[in-house]
Amino acid sequence: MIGNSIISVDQNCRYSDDDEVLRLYVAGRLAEPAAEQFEQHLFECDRCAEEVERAMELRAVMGRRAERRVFLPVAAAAIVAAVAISLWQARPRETALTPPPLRGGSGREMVASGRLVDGVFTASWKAVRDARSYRVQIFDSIGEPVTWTETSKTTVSATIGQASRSESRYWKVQALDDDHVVIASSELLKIQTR
Amino acid sequence: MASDAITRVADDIAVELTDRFWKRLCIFAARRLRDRASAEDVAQETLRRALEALREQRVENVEALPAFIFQTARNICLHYGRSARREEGALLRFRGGMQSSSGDESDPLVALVDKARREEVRAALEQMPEDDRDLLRMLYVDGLKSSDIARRLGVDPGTLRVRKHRALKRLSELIGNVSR
Repeated sequence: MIGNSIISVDQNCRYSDDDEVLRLYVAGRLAEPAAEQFEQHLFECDRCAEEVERAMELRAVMGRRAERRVFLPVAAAAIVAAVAISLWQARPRETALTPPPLRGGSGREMVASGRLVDGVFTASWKAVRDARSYRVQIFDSIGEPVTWTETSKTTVSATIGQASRSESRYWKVQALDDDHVVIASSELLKIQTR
Repeated sequence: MASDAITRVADDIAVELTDRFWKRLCIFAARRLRDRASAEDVAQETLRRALEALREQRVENVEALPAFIFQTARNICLHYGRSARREEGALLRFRGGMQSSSGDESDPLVALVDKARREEVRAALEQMPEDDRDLLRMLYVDGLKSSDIARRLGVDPGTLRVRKHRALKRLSELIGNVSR
């Protein structure tokens, strides 16, 4: 911070004990006029300004869609109730497997679970009413999307390569309606690989 | 000599104004204009007007400077070749776009973070303990409520706050930003 500043700083930050406002603001989900009120505060409070800046950077790095790593799915269509996707053993191809953006908010909360057995990760979730399909995304430890798929089933299996089993992976599932709008989402869940 | 001294003071103030408010002004303007170049134009013009006001002693109380800068930036945004209606539309699009994907490059605040900075942050994150990375992700990327995160981690809200501040401090140290 700037020492002996000519400019006063808000020493009594009213957001210091409750950072939900700050996080909603950075996510673009803080409604007016609260957003503008928070911005006015931002000009007076170095602590909040620094946290907003850090949050933007984290979103830029951890929330960015993958452009570098691309993987070819090796579908195992023979598995009736599952879609198999290979995450780390497949060969890259030219076009990214970044999913197209979806409309809609997070919607209702989905109940989902996953387990890793003998290198095969299987995720399943409770069916959502009015859902036409489900999108499953997997991310690495710093938020880079690794792969994704969509299915009409309520379970997905993925083979995890030996070399990557010690690395953390995360996944989430979103329920989509007929218009491909998100109507429900799970939390981001950790794949237990250890 | 007196003139030189005045010039130095003015220069010092200009530097301080820029250090302190540049990024905040860009954030403020980017949310409204959804464009990094336009946001930087607004930031520059706002600082120019603030400095001019200080030199002309139109800001009577220096403590009111943050509010003056906020209001000036607001006015410039409103008149930045856009009607208030278009600005409102941009704000709505911003909120709508953010709901679909937290990492969407259409996020005007994310677009303010340049490539070099992303690499610095990425390198810093890779040096951090996994628990800290997980916490920062839940807080700022996944958008989970603090109460949900605390429950998931099995800690009370006070402990969560301490862990958050510790993780942010560690991140700032790693990217060499702690003295800012």
